Amino acid sequence: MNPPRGLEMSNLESVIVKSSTLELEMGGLHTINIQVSDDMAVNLIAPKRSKGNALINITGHGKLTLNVKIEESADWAILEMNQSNESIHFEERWSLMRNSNVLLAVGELTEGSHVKNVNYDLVEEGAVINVRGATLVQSKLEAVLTANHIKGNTYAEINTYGIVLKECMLKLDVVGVIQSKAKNSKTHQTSRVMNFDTKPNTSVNPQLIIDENDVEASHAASVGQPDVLQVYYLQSRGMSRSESLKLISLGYLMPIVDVIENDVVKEALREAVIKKVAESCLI
Amino acid sequence: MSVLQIKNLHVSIEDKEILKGVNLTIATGEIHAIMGPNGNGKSTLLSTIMGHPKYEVTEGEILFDGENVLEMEVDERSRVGLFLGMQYPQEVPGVTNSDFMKAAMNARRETPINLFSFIKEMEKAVKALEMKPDLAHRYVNEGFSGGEKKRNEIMQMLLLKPKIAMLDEIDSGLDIDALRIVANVINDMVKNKDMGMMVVSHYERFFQLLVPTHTHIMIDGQIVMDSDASLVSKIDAEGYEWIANELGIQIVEEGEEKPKKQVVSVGSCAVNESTKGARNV
Repeated sequence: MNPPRGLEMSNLESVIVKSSTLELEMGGLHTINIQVSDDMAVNLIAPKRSKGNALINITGHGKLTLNVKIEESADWAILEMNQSNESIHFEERWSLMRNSNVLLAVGELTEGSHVKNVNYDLVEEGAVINVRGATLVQSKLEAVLTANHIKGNTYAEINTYGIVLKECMLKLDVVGVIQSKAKNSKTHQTSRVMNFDTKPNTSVNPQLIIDENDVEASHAASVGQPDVLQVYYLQSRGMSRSESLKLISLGYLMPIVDVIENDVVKEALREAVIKKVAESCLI
Repeated sequence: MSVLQIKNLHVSIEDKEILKGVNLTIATGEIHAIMGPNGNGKSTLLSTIMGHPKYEVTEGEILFDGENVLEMEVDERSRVGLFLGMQYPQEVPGVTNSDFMKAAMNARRETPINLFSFIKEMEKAVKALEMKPDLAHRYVNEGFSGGEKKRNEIMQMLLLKPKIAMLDEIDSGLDIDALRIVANVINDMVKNKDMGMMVVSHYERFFQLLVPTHTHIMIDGQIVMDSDASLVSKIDAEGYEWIANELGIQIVEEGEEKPKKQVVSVGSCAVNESTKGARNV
């Protein structure tokens, strides 16, 4: 396909600098670099029965309206990395059509201050989404993540792991909505946040709004200081307290790395996570 | 040779005194069996030596090669050569065993271990303990069976090469074959690598495989009797009540503040050679 205006495509790498619409390309890893400025709208489409891996890197500042449509029977593993050390307001909507399947990892490892309003809409029967979020809050993040079951036999699982550094703030709402007539839908959410500050600057609010019978739903959330016994265990093997905390933090963030099958990207991401944690002042 | 000395150690948890004056000296090349009824201070002793944050030392000293262990952070204790194989090892989700072990090994080295040497050493340890080959890639203790967790503790000991290792009921959860494998590894380390050990266990079978050079009985926060390996068999056959009776002391039930009953000394029982080291309390 011809790249739309504002889009430069090189093999499987696309750069988006203004409002655009783009199809996800099969055959390897499709890297999409979105450079946000002012108020941008980007539409990404995974075509019918397509299958592949995509890496979405987001930089810049302003407002990003990101609409991702996963068409019928498409099957994608996607890593979305917020790389902006500035401020972005995200309005994100993922629409999953019949029998589509998405494994989505979301990395927030920036020093920026962001607001995210994300909807995962399971629009048609058989749609499945698994979300793994890893967040290292070095400034401020307010996020509302909503799994919206519109039709029956849909599945959503949102697992978010966060680390909040001293003097930083996280407000995370994770919502599961099962609408009427969305029978046999399943929605699950787990949020675990480790707070390195003693102040109550972190809140995690899980919610389930269910308007149908014959469904399955669960939520779990925890916010707390680093586990004293875990730190003791690692220290008893010779690591300093600081090294122990960094290793525990890596454990929170690393699971997003496994989403992408491409070994080169996986190793680069792994190195990036290690670097971010190493650079963080955790104690 | 390294020496760990424990002198008149008193330890409390939340104002309740658990250890009431423990004296013990362990040197490399020695295997000390610590036995006693549940809830009488054995695990507290080992955890206190390692620096568990829950325990408060109210009196006494712990010296390692003359250095004051109580002034050291937990990680410093590990780096000078102390190791505790834990009864309930912690799970560390998201951290692979190999990353964990690499970090632990690097913590005691001037320059980081190179990847090839690390893989070689880890593979050797995994093989010696007959563990599953995927162990390196699994998250630390997460989803491990009881036996796998215990073998993983021994693998860490093998790779970290401590001078004095403490094992807290490491045999629980291990089947007979695994027990033999673990005991062989421990015996090799004591024999070849200049290591001393304190081993807490309830079972004679483990001590038949390890053969302690010393046996100590701990009751109500004190070591009340010292002997050699022969005492283990007597305990296995007769339990602890005879010691309490002989010494006129009381066994504390686990979780209880006070002894379950008054024990009346019946004076001197038949004392065999193995109990000649009994202490006055």
